[in-house]
Amino acid sequence: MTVKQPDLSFTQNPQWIAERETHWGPIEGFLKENNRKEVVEQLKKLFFTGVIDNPEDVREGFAILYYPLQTAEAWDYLFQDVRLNPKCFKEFMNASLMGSYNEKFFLDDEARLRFFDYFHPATYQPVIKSRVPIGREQKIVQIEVDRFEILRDMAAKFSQFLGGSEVPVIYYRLDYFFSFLDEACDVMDVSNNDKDDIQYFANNFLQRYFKIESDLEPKNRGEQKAFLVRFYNHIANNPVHPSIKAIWQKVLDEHD
Amino acid sequence: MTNNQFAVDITVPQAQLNEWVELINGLCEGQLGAYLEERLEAFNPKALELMDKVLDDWLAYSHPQFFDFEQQGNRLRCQAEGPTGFHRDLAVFKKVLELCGATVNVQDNTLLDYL
Repeated sequence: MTVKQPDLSFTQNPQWIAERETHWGPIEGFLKENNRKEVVEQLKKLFFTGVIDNPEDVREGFAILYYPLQTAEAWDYLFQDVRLNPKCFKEFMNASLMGSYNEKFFLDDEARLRFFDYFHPATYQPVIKSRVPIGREQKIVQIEVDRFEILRDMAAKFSQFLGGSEVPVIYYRLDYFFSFLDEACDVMDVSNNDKDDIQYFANNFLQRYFKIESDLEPKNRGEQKAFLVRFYNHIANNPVHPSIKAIWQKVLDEHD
Repeated sequence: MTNNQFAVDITVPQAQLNEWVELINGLCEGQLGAYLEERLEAFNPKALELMDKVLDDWLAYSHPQFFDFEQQGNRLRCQAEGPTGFHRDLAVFKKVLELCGATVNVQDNTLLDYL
């Protein structure tokens, strides 16, 4: 069974085209640095019409990034009918969680959140299944979430956020983050190559709890405080793994 | 300077100086794709034809770095570095620059040693 191509009749609307033109300028400049002219032209056509003349010439994943529609329906179509491969699915799954893609790719915050929700349930699940059969073999893909990698990246993201960076996507899906903390394994496990990074970033943002008034950047201070207070309460009242509680306890001890 | 780092040193016609600065300085800003194609094509479409395979290789695999742009009048210089075998691509590139109207001032000793 194939997924029907989404209705793209809106791409004929002159107002939509005019608005799209304003987004295309910076994207084109970015693409022209590292892609042949022919590829840039194909991507322009994809960006404005959704048509991909020659999928072989379009680098993996570009279809997702430049398709005119950014909805679950569109991504189903692209993963199944444009035959994006399972590796690509996994890369986008991680990128959607961390927001680690160029901000030019999503035209608004709603689309960014839809992309997160396309891959991730409301609360943490250890295995993520594709919604549609994908790849040349047209199979449902099951990706085991790398918990150490996610914890490292989320700790880094919150550390940056508390240091004044933009509010990350994961901030708007805190139920996912906190349910993940409840399921997280022993971060000190010898097989965890990221344990030093996890300790560093976690320690970095936990320290800020004690300096909420003085250390937080004025930008997004309300969101920063809300996150830290919820984190404190969660660690105190939920079955978070002892190895994570230990990081928190160390920070507490330093402030006694 | 490493074995795979070379100098690009050219003298260009005064009348097209701005276009040449845009091309060489653009390389140093990472503009190797369609930007470079358009600029070469504007000078001489045959030059672009000669560069075709090299450009594909640069974009897909070798990703060379150009840096340290310098200008003294109509003499333009920069450094170029790439993976093993990059000297062959650079030799083609220098021919391309000549086809576009530049005079190549320096053929690196390192490059000649390879040849």
